[in-house]
Amino acid sequence: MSEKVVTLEEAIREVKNGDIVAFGGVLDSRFPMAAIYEIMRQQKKNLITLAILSLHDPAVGAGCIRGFIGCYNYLGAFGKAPCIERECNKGNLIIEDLGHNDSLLIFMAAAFGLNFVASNYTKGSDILNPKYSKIEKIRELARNKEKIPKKKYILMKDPFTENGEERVLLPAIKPDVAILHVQQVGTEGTCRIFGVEGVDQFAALAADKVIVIAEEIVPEEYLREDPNRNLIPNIHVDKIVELPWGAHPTVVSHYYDLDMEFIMNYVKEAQTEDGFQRWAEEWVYSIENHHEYVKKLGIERLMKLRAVKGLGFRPRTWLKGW
Amino acid sequence: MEYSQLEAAVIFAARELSKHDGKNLIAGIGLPVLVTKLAKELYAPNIKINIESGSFDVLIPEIPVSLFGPRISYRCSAQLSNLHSLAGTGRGDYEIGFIGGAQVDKYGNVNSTVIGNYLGKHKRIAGSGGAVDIGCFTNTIIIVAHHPKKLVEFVDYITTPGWKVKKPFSDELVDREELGLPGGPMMIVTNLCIMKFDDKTKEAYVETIYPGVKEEEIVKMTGFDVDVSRAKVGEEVTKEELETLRKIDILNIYRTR
Repeated sequence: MSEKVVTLEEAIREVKNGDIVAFGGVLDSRFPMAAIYEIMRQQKKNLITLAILSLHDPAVGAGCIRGFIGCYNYLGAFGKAPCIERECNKGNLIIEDLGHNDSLLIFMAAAFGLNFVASNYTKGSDILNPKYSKIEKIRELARNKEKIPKKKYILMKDPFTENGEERVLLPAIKPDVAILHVQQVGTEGTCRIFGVEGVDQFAALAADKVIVIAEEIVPEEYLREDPNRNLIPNIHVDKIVELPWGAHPTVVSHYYDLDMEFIMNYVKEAQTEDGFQRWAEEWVYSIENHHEYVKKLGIERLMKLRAVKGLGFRPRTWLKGW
Repeated sequence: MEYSQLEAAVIFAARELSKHDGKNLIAGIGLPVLVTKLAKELYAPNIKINIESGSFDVLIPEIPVSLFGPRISYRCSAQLSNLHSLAGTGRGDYEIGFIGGAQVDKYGNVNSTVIGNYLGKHKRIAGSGGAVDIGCFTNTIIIVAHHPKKLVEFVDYITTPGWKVKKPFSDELVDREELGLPGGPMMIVTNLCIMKFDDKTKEAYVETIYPGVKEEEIVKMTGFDVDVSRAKVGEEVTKEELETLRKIDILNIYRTR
């Protein structure tokens, strides 16, 4: 087995205070929850996150994440993200609002070795209004300040057109570390993702360090049989952690379904600061590692979530059997 | 058959899509997915539903809770990155964009970022997601609950540009066309009526009132001075429409009833 394979605790030690962290997955899908919990246990500080996510909410409540440059702050169908809302109101979380494309283009630019891109995806919107930008405050949080641009956007006349139409320049952001949860990783780091890809590939190519957490480690040769199906080449992966159910309670295509009950309970508990502390104590701080977390969830609960082959999810009308 | 006002909204919105069969559409989080699925079942079997999750021409075998999960990517034409599908707006892939929003004004500008003063007292809401990307380039359908605080004279923050928008890097209001933006808001669908936009003034007026809804109620529940003089009453909701809708969302995941 490659030296890249480590425990979750070892992998998350790679994350430094003030790092720009790109999480893979989207909202309630394939989100690296076990990493979020470990970040809380290791009490990281001043992290800055990017793009489109929301189940990082507990790490915001725990005071680990202080900056967000991206486009979404709800828990999808579960409504308000209680900690994000509370910490934002208290001034502990600073949000820079982007559009969805732009929050991916900042990765894409970095992934392809570019310094900025011209993007027209926010014209007419207040997202472009500089008076609302908080990028300078987010910059102060960063360990490596040069990684966060001084300005959110720059407007310039297109030098390639006759009439000099106005274009919006969007600077690249290169994350310090990307943390992804994928379905399969090879022993050398090759990644295979099933279902929605999110921002994972751009994030992995762009980041200085890449931590991959996977449902299962499989032989590289198996993945190499069909290289077109692999999204991230092994040369980009630094640490590998095998962690079945590591994205619970989010959905992992072809492995397990969304644990709606768990998320709804979280939302209910985290409405108050005390409630959130109780929840975090029960589900994060008092639990030594992911293995204990899975044991606490229990086999009954997990069996109800298992995806059905050929579908990739568990049809709701099949639930009765379990 | 008895039905809720939200069910009426979904059905009337789906009927509107019958005029766009065979076209490409991009649907945002929430009710847009339910509406487009219903439309595909009943009125527009060849409409292509695309989602900002990188999923092209999706089938939606079961109503999803997660917009980014396996119920969306299931047997879609191609599953690529979010950017691949959402940048289709800029490419001109989609004729129609379908979004929700917390606050909509008479010019069809949508706010899904903050309620109140961004630089002062405000309440943070969902954020753009793909709403700005969709609204910049497509003909949009906006679905919103009918309430004077949600249908307003002018939004607190323009997340998604409608007809009167912000000149880049300023607070100056300009016509959408001035920025060279294609598309624009086509209609606002609420739980009471459908509003469309006047060609000249670009202001929303009531076009279709759902059966049983009173004009006075619409006026009372609208936060701007709305023109109801052109309104007609829509055709009664049919048993087939209701049954199909309830079958699609059999567990009432979207709480329409």
